[in-house]
Amino acid sequence: MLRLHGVHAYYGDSHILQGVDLVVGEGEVVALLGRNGMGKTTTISAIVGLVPPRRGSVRFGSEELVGRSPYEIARLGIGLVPQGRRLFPELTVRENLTLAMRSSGDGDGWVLDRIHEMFPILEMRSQVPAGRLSGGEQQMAAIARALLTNPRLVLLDEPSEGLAPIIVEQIGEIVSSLRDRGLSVLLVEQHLPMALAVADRCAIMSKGVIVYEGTAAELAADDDARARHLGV
Amino acid sequence: MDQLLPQLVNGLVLGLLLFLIAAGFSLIFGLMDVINLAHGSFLLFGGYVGLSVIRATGNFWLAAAVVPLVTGAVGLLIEVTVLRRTYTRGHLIQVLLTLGLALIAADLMRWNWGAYVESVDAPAALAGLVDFGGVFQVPLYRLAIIGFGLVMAGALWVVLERTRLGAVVRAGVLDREMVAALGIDIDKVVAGVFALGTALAGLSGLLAAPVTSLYPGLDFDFLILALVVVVVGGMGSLKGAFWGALLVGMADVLGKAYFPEFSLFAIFLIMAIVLLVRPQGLFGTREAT
Ligand SMILES: Nc1ncnc2c1ncn2[C@@H]1O[C@H](COP(=O)(O)OP(=O)(O)O)[C@@H](O)[C@H]1O
Ligand SMILES: [Mg+2]
Repeated sequence: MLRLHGVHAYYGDSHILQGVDLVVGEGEVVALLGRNGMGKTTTISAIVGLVPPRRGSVRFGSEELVGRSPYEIARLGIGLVPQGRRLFPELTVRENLTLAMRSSGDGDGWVLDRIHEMFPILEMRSQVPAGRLSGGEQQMAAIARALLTNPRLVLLDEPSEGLAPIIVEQIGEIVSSLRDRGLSVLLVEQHLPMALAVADRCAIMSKGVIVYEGTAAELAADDDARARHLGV
Repeated sequence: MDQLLPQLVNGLVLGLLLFLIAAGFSLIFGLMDVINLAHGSFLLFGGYVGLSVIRATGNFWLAAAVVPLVTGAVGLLIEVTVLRRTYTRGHLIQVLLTLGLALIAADLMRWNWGAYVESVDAPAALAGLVDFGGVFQVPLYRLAIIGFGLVMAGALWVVLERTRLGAVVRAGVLDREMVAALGIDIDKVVAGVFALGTALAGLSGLLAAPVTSLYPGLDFDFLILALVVVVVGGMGSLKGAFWGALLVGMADVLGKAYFPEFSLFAIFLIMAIVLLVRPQGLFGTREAT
């Protein structure tokens, strides 16, 4: 479904991604792990075209994404839940959700009613400026906003960041339920237990390259890899 | 007293004309961080195009229909061909480019329409004075400008606050990248806002002409006022453009009436106070960068 091959990306002159290879299969949840500053967010930005790769290829289904603009990439079916949520704080919750809403084409996609069933709190807070939601509510709104574009692949960048343990657990359940509905997910996480609980496969990034790949069960059993790459 | 009331009406007239100019200017500023120093040129250009249409046909209303189409189309062309390339290149390039465009436009207009002051008659249907209980009289045309300005403000507010397209524009002011990452072609939205802004600027040039006349320099006079409006009201905010425009319009008219020797003093005093107390402007959400 998503296949990165030899992706190099820069901020100005700093060479951040130094040949990233990564695969997310159809209906698969892949966790991208790694310490702070290793290039996980940059990988996400490279996929969606916000930091266009200078070399390498990003294939989504049969389409090459490198060279396309962010809005075209999103329209091919990629939903972004960015680090820090990036809701539009002064717009109402409802405006945030409906702004980029796109129908799925097959008539069985995400619509506002279904989102409200899944996140009743967002219906109750419809008319509130998104900036006034709690951190957990904002995260749910950011996920809902991405789902309403009816993507086939969802990119989640540290959805548990700054949230209380009980909310982190909820976010984990939401990610699992996305997989159950057949979505593919690339999940960037610092919260290892959550990532191990929901992911099929894990990849660890260090200094702009992938240094470890394995199933979640393999990583859970591999104390050495965890200590070496994640410090836990 | 008999002087004050008509001056207040004139302040409202100037304020609403300024609003029509500043609305597009401010939204573009908010969306793209672009200071379009050629914005005033669209106003004078609109006035001159209207003058030519009126001379050819004698029909003010036809001119009012043609002018926004022409200035909006020219605005769109300039955005797509020139301005768009500067969005990622910083303010210095934008300032130099748009100032260059404004100077070129000023020369072209002087060459085509001359350097004399050209007056434009108000349309016959709006000629005459309206008497307020014998206390003072106001030209009907000025009341019509006030009415039209308020209607436009209401219409723009509805589009911006009550439609999905409006939500996209407001979201773009806050985080343009995120809007694009959600699958919205924000470049098209920006071009549309730019075209609308230049259409409104052109139209306000025609509407202003019977009040101010048309002359070389009117472009920069209004540009300066529009800049002050955006600084006072807050960039990227329609509400800010509205209240900022009324405040600046009032201050300019009253300042010139009562302290003619300090003509621009009143508006710059207001600007200085706002910058000190609320650097992001009355309704702005972020400071100028
Ligand atoms: N906008 C930026 N400009 C320059 N350098 C950046 C920018 N964003 C991130 N970086 C640098 O790129 C590297 C990778 O950052 P990032 O992808 O955000 O890491 P992670 O998401 O894994 O924490 C870091 O060294 C960071 O300092
Ligand atoms: Mg990150």
